[in-house]
Amino acid sequence: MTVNDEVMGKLRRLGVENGVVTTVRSEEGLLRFSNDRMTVLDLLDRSTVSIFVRENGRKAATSLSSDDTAKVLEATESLVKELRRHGSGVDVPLPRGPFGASRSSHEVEGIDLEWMTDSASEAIDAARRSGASRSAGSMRSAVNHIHLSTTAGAEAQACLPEIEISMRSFTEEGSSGHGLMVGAVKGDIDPTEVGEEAGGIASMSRHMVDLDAGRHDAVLAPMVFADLVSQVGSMASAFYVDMGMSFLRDRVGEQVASPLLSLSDDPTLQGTLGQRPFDDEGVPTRRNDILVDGILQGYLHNSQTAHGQGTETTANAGLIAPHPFNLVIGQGRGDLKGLMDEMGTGLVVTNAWYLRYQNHATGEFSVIPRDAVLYVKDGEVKGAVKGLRISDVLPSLLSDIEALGADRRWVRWWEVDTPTLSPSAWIRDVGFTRSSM
Amino acid sequence: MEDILYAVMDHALASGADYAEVRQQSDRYDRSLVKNGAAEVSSTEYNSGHSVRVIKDGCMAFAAANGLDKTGLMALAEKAVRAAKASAGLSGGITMDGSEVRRSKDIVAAKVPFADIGQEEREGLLLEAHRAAVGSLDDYEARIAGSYLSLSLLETEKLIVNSDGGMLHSVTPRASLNAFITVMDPQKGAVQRHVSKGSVSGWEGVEDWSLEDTMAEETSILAKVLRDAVACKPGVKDIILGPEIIGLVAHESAGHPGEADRFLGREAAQAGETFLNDPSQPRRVGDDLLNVVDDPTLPGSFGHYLHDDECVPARRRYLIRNGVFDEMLHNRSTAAAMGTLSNGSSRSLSFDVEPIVRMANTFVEPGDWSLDELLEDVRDGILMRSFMEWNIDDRRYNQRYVGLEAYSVVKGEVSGMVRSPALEISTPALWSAVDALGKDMEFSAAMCGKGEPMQGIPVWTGGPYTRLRSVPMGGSP
Repeated sequence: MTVNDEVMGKLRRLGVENGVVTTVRSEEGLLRFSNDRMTVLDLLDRSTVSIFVRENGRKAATSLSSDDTAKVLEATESLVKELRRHGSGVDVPLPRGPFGASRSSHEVEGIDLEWMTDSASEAIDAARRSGASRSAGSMRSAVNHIHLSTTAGAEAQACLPEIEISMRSFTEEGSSGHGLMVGAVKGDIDPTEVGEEAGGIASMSRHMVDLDAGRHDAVLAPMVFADLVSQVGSMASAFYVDMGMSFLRDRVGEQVASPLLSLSDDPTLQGTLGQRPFDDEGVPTRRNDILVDGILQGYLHNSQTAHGQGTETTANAGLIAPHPFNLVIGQGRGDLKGLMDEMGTGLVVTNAWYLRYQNHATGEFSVIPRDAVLYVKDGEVKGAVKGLRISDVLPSLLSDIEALGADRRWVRWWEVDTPTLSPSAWIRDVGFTRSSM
Repeated sequence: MEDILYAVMDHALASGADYAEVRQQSDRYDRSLVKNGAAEVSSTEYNSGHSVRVIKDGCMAFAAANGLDKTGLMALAEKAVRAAKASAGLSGGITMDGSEVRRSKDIVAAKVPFADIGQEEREGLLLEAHRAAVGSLDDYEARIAGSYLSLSLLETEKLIVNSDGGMLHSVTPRASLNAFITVMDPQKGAVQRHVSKGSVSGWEGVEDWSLEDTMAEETSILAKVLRDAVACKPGVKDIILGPEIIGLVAHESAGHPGEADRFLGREAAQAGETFLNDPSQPRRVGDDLLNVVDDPTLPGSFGHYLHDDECVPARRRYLIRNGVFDEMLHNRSTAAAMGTLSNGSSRSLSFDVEPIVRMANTFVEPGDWSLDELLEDVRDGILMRSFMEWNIDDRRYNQRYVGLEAYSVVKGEVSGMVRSPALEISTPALWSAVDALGKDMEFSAAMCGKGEPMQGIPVWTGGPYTRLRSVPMGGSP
């Protein structure tokens, strides 16, 4: 009998009508390197059992990093007792299962440390050949085994692999470039291509030019555009809309971005990093359109937030806050160079980080380009610009999209949590500021 | 349990490790969340397990797992050593310095243990605070359009042994609050504010926060911003930064640049590096009056500890001493790489992440000016008390702070509120503009993100009211 079976039995004996138990076992290898040498190799093996109950109009949860069944059952009983001491109210029922056979994942490989070490070396060598003097980064491989059961009859299991390489290369002059690749199996990763990208961007940004702050046309490379548009994905969560932490509040059906921008959440895409066959309430996931031609289609829901807005779950639970799993931005035409040619004169921003809001409700924000910011004139790179910051209003910026590329790639790294399939984007009149002293 | 940890450590050494460290850590979190004035959820999380960190021929490996018995832990030690050996081809030449490591028992005793505080009391406190926030708007047109208040009570127990003779048993209760408020006026739009509190203490620390008063004050300030604030006229001005902002500056522009792992490039692809590794940048950045320190030993502070996770004693570190960048924050491996000794800056968030170089409580040391004296000869300036938006580049050189509660200062007098003044400036220019420091200190709680996997570590930031002369002030978009 599994831990899930034991806990479900306990919840039923206690008369709990809305309970979820989720067991996650994660195996992970993480190799970190800097200055072309390894700094640490992490090997992690963790198990967590989480129990969630809705009763008397209240919600409570507990989790244990232990598969000791006796302790888990004790914690379950304690959770339910505490919940029953207070309150009275109407509960939103969990979505009623069963939902048919749970879908598991595609091919799953183990953690291959030798391959990770070799791949890191290969990427470092490629960056050197591309002109970098040193590189730093990480190579990560993980497998997550998830088993979810609910008192409403949902029963689902999945085995979800993740592989990521992210590296940053520097030249002697201090210019830098970032390369990354993410996927589900080793075959998704080409370390040489990642190293060449990081080293190549670093090399092409050696020559510096001056440029005043102000409004400039800009092509945002996929790492930057993913950072911005994934914000829209997060802000589409009904939970954050309800708390005032979203500029999408009260705007369903309205034009909130350029007609060129379409965004969906699609955890059903097989073989991708953010694939997820079921949500945290056990509901089979589906593709949900968030923006179609720039028009907001609706919010992401779990059963609780959906009930609050008189609609159905979108299978995006989060037991407390619904969220996107795997964002997909629609593509346009051409590649980065094509967008540069079309733009003529402006900036190409290859990477950015540290996005912060002055106001989530209006979308006033700033984010700092890092690595190469290239100044382009008549479609040709004239040099790199240092010290700029994008300071703008997110819905305005997304309304000024002039063209999207066909160069979509998956992005997830330190700055971008939710895997996002993003193209490059040419945007008119982006606000850039800088320190004047 | 200590015996088992020593046996595992010895087994790692016998398996070939040059250095071995074994840690058992358990964290219990009790959390309550109130959203839009209603109890949303309460939760209890138990996170516990073991880790083994080894160095073999200059390669460091870290293995962590939970639910293991002694046999499993022995296997974990072997796994770590095997991993270090297997990565010899990319060896980083990592060694530990010769710092004094100690055997210590650091128990922070709570006056009112968290176990005495039930879910109802936790939620009751948050609900009262929300009601106080609502009530503070009675005299305004604006209303709360969304809010959350999240209270976390954490008890951490660590047992660490290392092969250089260190042993640490620590128990640390830690309380924190994160709140977010949106206040909206149908005619004037919305403004928002994060509120954070944190302390190493029992429930008595939570009571000291005076949460109802805090939330009422913060909320009414937002209403005032909506009602009264006018656009900020850009230009070169004198600025007085309040403790909340100068504390953040101390953290971002003295603490982070002073982290030795960034200097050595070990965070280059994540949190970044530091402008201090550019030899053309001067070490002197300010007047003799300027001292910025990091001190984990402050009793009750959110970043409090007495020995770090490598069993090195903690002490006050002078990041900037008399206007000059001075000491970096080190763990034992960065200290060895730079030919110095650790100053006890090695911290880990949970059992499954390695200890890395971290700040604790970073602040500008006070001077002897009152706020009135600081204001007195400011002819055209800004007083910035709080902020929302901020960021800084990955070399910690180019930063931006956008004010929330901010006032114009005219001829020495605090005048009307200004909306979203933006200070965008380089680190040397910012520190060199400081010409006077207040005498009254205040601290704010924050979670500092760094590392991969990301570790959000509790810190305090702080300082006195601080005057900057002739700096560029802009408006936000």
